[in-house]
Amino acid sequence: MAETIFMDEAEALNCFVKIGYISELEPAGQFSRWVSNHDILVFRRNGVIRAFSNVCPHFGGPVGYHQMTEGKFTCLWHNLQFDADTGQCLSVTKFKLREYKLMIKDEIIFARLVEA
Amino acid sequence: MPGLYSKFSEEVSFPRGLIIWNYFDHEHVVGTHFEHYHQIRILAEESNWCLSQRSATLPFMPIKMWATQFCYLKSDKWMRSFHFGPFGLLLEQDFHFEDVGSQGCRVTVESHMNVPRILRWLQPFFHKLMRRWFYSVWAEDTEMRERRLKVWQLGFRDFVGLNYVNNKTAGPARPDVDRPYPIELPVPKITEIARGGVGRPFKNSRKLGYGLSELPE
Repeated sequence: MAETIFMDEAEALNCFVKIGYISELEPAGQFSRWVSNHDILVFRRNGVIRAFSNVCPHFGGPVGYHQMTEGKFTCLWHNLQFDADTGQCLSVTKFKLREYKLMIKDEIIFARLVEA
Repeated sequence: MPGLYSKFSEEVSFPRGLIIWNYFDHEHVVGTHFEHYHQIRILAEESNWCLSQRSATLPFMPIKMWATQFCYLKSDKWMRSFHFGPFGLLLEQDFHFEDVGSQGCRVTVESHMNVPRILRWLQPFFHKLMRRWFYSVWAEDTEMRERRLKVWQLGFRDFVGLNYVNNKTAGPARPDVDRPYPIELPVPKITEIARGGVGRPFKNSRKLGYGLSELPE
């Protein structure tokens, strides 16, 4: 499940970067965008906004090229499929998409790129 | 020149190794080119050749057609390809890759098809067909090559991804635009040659594309 972050606003602004707007989720329920050398797939699932890496670990294809169907993303290049709840690849089990922690403020979506 | 013939040439800002990777990544035809190809089965493959069966819909002819393709890298600048279609038709293609500077390449594709003299009047149609096919597939490959080059220059490793993304650490300050792109064949596969092949796992797609434009600073 998506993680809710509680932190001081000043601290949060240091850790998170802006990746888009809530309005950009319409009408498809998802969008992707490169931010600071991260390609991030943002989507709404069961009312919760989440974000995975949009870079397929296979050859680097775009996981969010097609609209999510039946709870699965299908990478454009080689049709590898990923579970939208877990990021787990259903085609090659050793692959899993990284999930980004999000913060939403004033209709703007921020993601935490660096955690380590 | 006997039979039907067409020639197209394009210069691109991708290294030759990436272009050859793209042509020898046979499994992508049912992914990247999902609107043209329905299925592919790799029958046999070695480091510089591949034999495959493909099901495709050609421009102007909304019918599915199976063809057997044999392609091989005659040199690291020349690929030959043979498509065996229905009614004994054989399409022969030569792909020449010419370096343009250190990071560019000119791709020239010559296509030939021997036909009885009585069918030579098909030449304009053949040229139009090959042109439509070449440029529609080319456009899809260009987007793929652009992205592949981008992640490559960010340090992407096949079957691993981007380490800084996976490890949640700071990424590179800037892409390594000089990272060499070696020619390493065969391209690793996710499916096994002995299996029945791969096809599109969906009937319809709502295409959202390669992503939104970057946010202003």
